[in-house]
Amino acid sequence: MSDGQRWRRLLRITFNKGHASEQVDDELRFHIESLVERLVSQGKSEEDARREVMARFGSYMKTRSSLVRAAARHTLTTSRHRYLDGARQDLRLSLRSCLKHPGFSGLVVLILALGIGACSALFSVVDSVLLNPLPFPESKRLVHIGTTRHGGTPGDFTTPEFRELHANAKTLESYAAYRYTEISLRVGQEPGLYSAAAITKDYFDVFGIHPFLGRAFVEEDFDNTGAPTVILSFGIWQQQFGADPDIVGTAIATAGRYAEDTPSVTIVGVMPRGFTSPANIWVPERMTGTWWEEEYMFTNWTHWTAARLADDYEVEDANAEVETIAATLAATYPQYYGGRYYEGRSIGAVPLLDHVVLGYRSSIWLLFGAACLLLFLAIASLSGMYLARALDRRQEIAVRSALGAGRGRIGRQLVTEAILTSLIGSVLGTLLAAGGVQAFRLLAPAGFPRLDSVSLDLSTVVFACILALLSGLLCGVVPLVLGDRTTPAFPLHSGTRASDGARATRLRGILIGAQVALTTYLLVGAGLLANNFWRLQDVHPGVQTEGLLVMPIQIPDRHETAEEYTGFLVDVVRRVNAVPGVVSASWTPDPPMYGGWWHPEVVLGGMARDDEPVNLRAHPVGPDFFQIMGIPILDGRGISEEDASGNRLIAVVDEIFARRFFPSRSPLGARLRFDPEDGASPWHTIVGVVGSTRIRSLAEEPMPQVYVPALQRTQTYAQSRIVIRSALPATNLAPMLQDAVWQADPNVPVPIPENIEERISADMRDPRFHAVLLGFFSLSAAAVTLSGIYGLMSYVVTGRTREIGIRSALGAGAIHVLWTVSRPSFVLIFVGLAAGIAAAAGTSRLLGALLFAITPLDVPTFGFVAGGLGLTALFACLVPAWRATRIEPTETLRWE
Amino acid sequence: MPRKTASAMYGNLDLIILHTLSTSGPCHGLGIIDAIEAGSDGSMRVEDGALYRALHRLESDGFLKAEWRISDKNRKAKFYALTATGKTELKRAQQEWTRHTETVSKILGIGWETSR
Repeated sequence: MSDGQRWRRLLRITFNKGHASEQVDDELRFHIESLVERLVSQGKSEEDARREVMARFGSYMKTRSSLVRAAARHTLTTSRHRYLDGARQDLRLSLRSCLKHPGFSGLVVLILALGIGACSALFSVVDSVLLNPLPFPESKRLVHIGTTRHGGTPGDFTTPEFRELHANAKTLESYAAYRYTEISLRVGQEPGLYSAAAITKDYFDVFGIHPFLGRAFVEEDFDNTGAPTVILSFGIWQQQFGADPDIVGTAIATAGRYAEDTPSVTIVGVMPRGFTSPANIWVPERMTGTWWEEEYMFTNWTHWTAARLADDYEVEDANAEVETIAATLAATYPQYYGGRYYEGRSIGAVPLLDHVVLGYRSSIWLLFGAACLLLFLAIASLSGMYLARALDRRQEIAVRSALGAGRGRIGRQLVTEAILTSLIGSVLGTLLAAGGVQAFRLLAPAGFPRLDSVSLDLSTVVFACILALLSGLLCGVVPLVLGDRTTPAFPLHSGTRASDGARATRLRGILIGAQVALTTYLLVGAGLLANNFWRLQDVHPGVQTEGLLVMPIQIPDRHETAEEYTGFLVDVVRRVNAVPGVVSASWTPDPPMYGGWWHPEVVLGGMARDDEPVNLRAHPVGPDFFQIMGIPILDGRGISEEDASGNRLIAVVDEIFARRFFPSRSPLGARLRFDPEDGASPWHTIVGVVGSTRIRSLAEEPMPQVYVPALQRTQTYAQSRIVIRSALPATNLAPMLQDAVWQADPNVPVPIPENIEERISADMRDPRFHAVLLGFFSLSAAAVTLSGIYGLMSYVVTGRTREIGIRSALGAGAIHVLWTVSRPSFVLIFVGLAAGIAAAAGTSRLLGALLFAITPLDVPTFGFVAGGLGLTALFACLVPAWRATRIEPTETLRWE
Repeated sequence: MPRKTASAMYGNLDLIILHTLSTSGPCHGLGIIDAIEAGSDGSMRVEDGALYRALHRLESDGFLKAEWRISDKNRKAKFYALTATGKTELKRAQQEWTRHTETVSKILGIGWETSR
């Protein structure tokens, strides 16, 4: 049997052959019986008559079977035609009815587009950030390894541990450490600051990508005796070096850490396009320095590490092995793997992708979940709206029904219409999603992983189309289920709706309740994030932000001693102070909002040592620091030029420190010293108390801080920051600042200073991002739900028009009628609100990591959401009900 | 269509059915047989099986449409009626018949005016 025959056979079976033979029999029976009757009336016996009639056919059976065959063929073709004609008609009617009610259709399309757009956009994000493998060969074999604390996620790592693993781990094919830093290069005339990564030798092997020009780093590059070398990213090679194909071997002047003795570095390679990391330049991490090997490095988390798994090993194997190595290390160096500070310390390995998306995985799923809820609510509401609309169309449908359209035919027409609108909705939704993805990229906080790869792709479009078809089917079918069972076509006679099935009523109730509950849930989440963001804006960073500029400055490596280092900074600041427009300038490595990494142990003179580890930050700051930053001096004095080395060592503490350690007296005159385990650290006398500032972020809990004069410190840093109180905008000041700094050292890069307000704004990006996105989803959800409730209520109220008429005719007051009609919906809304609030209260701690300024059970937020949504939902119920009471009783009854 | 009788008119059964239906209006199979018999003054009798096969073929060709109705004797009967394409086909077949008979008549030396 050929395929064609098979198909024909299949199709023929679906079109009832029995039906065809029945029809043939009916037709022939009429013929035979009529003829027999005629002959009998002419006087023949029935037997004779029948024989004569059959004879007229020749062979009756042959005739019959050929007729049946022909009829079956005919039925098949006509039913195909009828089906296609029907579909064409459905489409035409659908288009016409959409165009006839542009408001309704527009709203439907908009609601669907919102749901589909949000869902597709977030699906794109999920797909490209969480699901797509990293853009490296066999990237599933890449793992991140780092220190774990109490079994948590592996973080950064120390160099002795890296060395231990690098030498001993059998599960790792290649293993590299890297550290983000900055490098200054003189490309053309001016020195510029570039983000760089200092990497160990196996780095490019781990990722499986190598330079396409020149070579990777070799052993000599890591040798302190050789000339410093760098590898460029494709982007920087194009932008800064004009994509010069002969770039390899070129030497560039530098002033940064990697200049060391020679003032230049040699380019040895260029990485291919698409190899991205936060760094644009790679430099060899020279492992020969003492800091690399010293035991104290066990407590300095300086590097990230990444590895490629050896064949036959999985992440679990690597994790088990590094844990074993950690246990061995802990036995050798118990002081670094236990005790007060290092309790629960171990080593862990996770897939590199997990590390890359760490901190955003849950928030991406959270937003995707919210978008899916929005789509679900959109579909639920549309069902309600279609139901209400079907009412308006009772007449039209009844007329069509009377003209012979079957129940299925009318149902199909409604579904076609729903699918048509949802297809239009999905086209618009896809456009919205494309815009949404762009908006997402703009809104996303700076640290958002793999943001460049986020785009609307084919799978998303397919996803949107599936969503559209499903939602179309649902929107079309649900009204049929929720409407009257007996007559889905909503009959001419509205009185029959009084017999509306209990099942449909219950389903409608569930729909309203579930919508309200889900919307409440979403709104509470968004409300918490919005409230959190709102409160954060009121958090004061502790400094006068206006006209406060911060400029990073690299300290050339030739300034090796503390005197040279301090001398260079004093010289630069003196020149900056002379720039017109600069009110005053000073320096510190870490001003407020720029982090604080010096967290020493502190012992106070004459007081028992606190057994609790004190979470505290200390900062070396230049003269007049507090005046420049606008940090209020609450007691005593600030730090001045007088507080230089040789003079009495002093310290200034902030109000939190003072409250904590000197709750009953002034700290002035007390003494403190840092890192007492060093033994001989000197005492500092507290001379002042200043206001508290935010160390890294407005979202953090403020903690005690100590300031000491930079002029009295002997520690040197590769980078510091000049803080400037300026009367001019940063851009106007920049050229003059460049001149001033270059007079001190022409090789130091001078970036445009950053206004501290920009830093605060960047800090707000993360909470703002979550608040805006979730806020958008939940407000859309609220609007969508209210439309749905309104639609359903209109349906219910119209169904009770007769009852309302009778009640009114019997003298019931408007309020009473209103109450009677809306009471069931009030109950549903109340139940929905309660369920939503309960669910939100049960799960809002999931938002915990995103909330800083409020608790997950913030009562005002819950109250505001419940009140706001409750009132608007009641309003959406009352309006259709109120309209019903306005109908003249006589008019209502005339319907009967 | 295979010839089942010697009648020269039999080959034009389709034309006869279409013509009959155009004058009688919607009609069932037996009615058509009666009408043909009456129209030919009893000289032509169509075989019943052949008539129904022709009717079904004309229906699936789209020249006829069928409908179930209740006959005068209260029986369910299948009524056939001309469709718009059926009417066109009737006109075309009539012209072809005329041309055909004219030609044959000329050859046989019969005056064709009478057959008009």
